[in-house]
Amino acid sequence: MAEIPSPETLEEKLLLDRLNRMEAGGAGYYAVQLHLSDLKSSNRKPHFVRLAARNFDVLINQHEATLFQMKNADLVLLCRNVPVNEVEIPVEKVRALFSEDPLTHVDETGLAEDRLSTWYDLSEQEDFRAFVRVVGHLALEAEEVAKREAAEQAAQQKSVGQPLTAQHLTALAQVLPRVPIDDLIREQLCLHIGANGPEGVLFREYFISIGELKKRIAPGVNLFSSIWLFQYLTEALDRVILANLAGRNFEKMNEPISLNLNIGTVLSRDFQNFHRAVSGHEENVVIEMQVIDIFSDVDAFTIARNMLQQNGYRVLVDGISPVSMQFFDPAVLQADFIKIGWGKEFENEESDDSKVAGLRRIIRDAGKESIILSRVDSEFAIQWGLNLGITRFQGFLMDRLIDAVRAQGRRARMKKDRAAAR
Amino acid sequence: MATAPEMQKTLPSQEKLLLDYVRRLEKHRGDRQVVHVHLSQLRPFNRREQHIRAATSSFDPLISALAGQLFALRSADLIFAFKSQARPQVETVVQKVRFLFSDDPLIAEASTHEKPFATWYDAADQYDDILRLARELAEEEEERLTKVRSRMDARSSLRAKQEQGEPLTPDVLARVEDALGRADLSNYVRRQFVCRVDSKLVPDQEFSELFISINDLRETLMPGVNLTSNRWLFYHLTETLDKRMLSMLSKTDAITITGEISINANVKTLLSDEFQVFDDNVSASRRGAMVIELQKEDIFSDLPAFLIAREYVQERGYRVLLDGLTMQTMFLVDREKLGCDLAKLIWTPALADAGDEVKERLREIAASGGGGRMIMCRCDTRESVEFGRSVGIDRFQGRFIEGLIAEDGRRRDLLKLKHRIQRGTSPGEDEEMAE
Repeated sequence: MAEIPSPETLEEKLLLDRLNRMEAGGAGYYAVQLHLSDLKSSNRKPHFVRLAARNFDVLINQHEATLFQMKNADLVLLCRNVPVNEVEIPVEKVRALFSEDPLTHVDETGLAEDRLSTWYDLSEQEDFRAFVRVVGHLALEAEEVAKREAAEQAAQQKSVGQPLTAQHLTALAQVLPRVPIDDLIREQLCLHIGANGPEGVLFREYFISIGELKKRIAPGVNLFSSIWLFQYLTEALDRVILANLAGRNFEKMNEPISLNLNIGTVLSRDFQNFHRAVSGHEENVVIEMQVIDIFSDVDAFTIARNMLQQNGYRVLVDGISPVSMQFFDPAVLQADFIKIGWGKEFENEESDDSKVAGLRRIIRDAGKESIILSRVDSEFAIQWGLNLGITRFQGFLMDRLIDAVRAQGRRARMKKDRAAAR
Repeated sequence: MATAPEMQKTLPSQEKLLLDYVRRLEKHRGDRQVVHVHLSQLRPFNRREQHIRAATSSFDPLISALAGQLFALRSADLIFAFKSQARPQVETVVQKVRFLFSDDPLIAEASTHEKPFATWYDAADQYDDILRLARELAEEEEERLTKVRSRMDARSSLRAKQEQGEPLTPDVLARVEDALGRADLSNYVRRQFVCRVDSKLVPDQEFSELFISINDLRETLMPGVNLTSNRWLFYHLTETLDKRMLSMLSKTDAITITGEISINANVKTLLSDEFQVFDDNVSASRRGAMVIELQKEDIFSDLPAFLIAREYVQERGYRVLLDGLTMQTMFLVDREKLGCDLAKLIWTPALADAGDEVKERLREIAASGGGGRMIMCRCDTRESVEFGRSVGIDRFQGRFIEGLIAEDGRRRDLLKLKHRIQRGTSPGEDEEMAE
């Protein structure tokens, strides 16, 4: 969308206009509001909402019905003398589309209200007034959002940049070896959390900050726009991080380290050089590999995993979402660790008991000592994990947690020292 | 893995070095042993360069400890000659190498296999056997080299290099994509049928996969480029081609399509405007005759997006096919759970050698959802069809099937001709009736 719609063209306004022009309340009219704004953020994406809206195409062509797409992702259908049965068909299709989302779950008891849709009989004064109020709110909100978006869009255009192309990669391939990026290597701790807080460090992951990398070598390019081209780029980054870590003294490391590599890299000469540097300290090195990489060549993964484990390294499978655990059993991959990415979308997850029980079982079967919840950024995430039996966590909250613990330890030590000095 | 001829001239082969070594060994035969690791007996997919490299590097610590010397033979076999006192360490390393390939039938079915994974020799009492082995290996290699040299004149070696090609780099990819933008791709659209094949090998067409032939494209647009040399860049290219296919199909006059068809797509493509345009141009009744093929790695790279895209396209009437299953991923990915209507398993001869347990599980998977949902693809031999049928798969795709279709076509033509000839012998009957 190149142009920012002027407030007059906001669908909320158009709908409000329609309502205002309805005389005598609106005999024969009714409205259905689909609360897609309550979907989990991962499902509330514009292209998904567009798909949902298309389910109404047939209805709109055949009946006196209009669909309005609200800025907050809600859909509002305005109907005149349309059989309710006919409207239910596309509504149920939308429900099926988002069947994984708690919003669409139907209450078996029939007592609770449907969370997906609200129906208003506009020929009833009470419903009519309530609906006008709702739309009025939506219109106000939409105006605000539109203004904010206009500003954000301009800023975002700058920061996200144009999609990554093969041409960009060519340029990047030339630049990468010449620009020092060792200082972009970041670290993150993976902790074992027990009943009384952190109980130990599982490992410290080293990775190149992609955000910083983008700023330094490709400020105008969206590196994530093509998953395949991004994967290609990571192969080049593997070499940088391997060379950097090979230069460190493994004797003196007091915590295990971990790094994320392509399978191709693990089987390459670059890794052999690294292996020589590690020599004797393999048990302190965890090698992470991505699910997308594994699925595209399971044979190569099997060879790499066996080779690593035989040499004493530990193997971690990264890039698994709680959703994907319901579709394949990660234990089959015979890795030492499995990393599950936490996402905000699980915050609104209702306590769907069967799903929680299912996840708990999968985690138990895979061995809960091997499961790590990553991208942990809130207390809620930790609680969510603990509830499923997870005791290993990674994320910026963990780094803060350990900082706090260490500061406490220092204070305690200082107190002890002072006491001893007296 | 063609070694450049000039390399062969300057460097003696490992086989020759082995023979020299064994000859010199005679003096130290008292405390030397030799192990021959038969990696050449592994299945081809386990014999790739990287795998062999992983195996050879397992011997590195022993070599750097001066415990022995390794010879990596042309056939992929390894021969390690070592001091007798290092025997326990060597056994551990061989065990490690064996573990690397634990999924291979050579190891998995070691007990039933006539060839062992490793053969051990003690020079003290088996020196003659070792010498004979080394001689045979050296002679074989010498023979092969002379053959190669005589065959490989400058022109053919150049051709070999060209066939393997310039590796696909981002730079080449950018040029290729640029050329693609200007090319009329409708000439490169190919179709390959998925057929039900009965016990008499008579094919019955179910649907045909439409795709842009990368091989043909390569020849005209980018001769000399080895497109598969980088997986990620190759995927990106196929994604581009899939989108072009979609836009060609959106313009109904670009290519004529008849019968049930399948097309390849990415999850991301299904959620894009290009797909909406395509969908708008497909009549509702045609959607039921269309199959959308999605790759497993694409599905798992963003599962929530896949679930929504799948639900959406199925709702509109398309069928969804889970593509690219291999012997290894077969048991990892559950078609039924993912809600795909169909799945494709890539044929390799290793399937037939995989043992009864694999067959039994395959039979279960093939029967799931009432059967008929599993397609075996890349079938290039009769064996593939016979194996598929033996585990309950009755739908096939591949060069062998295309051959069956052609054969079946010829048979039908002959039959038609025969009818015509028969009609010809009873002159004018039909015409008289018509008048």
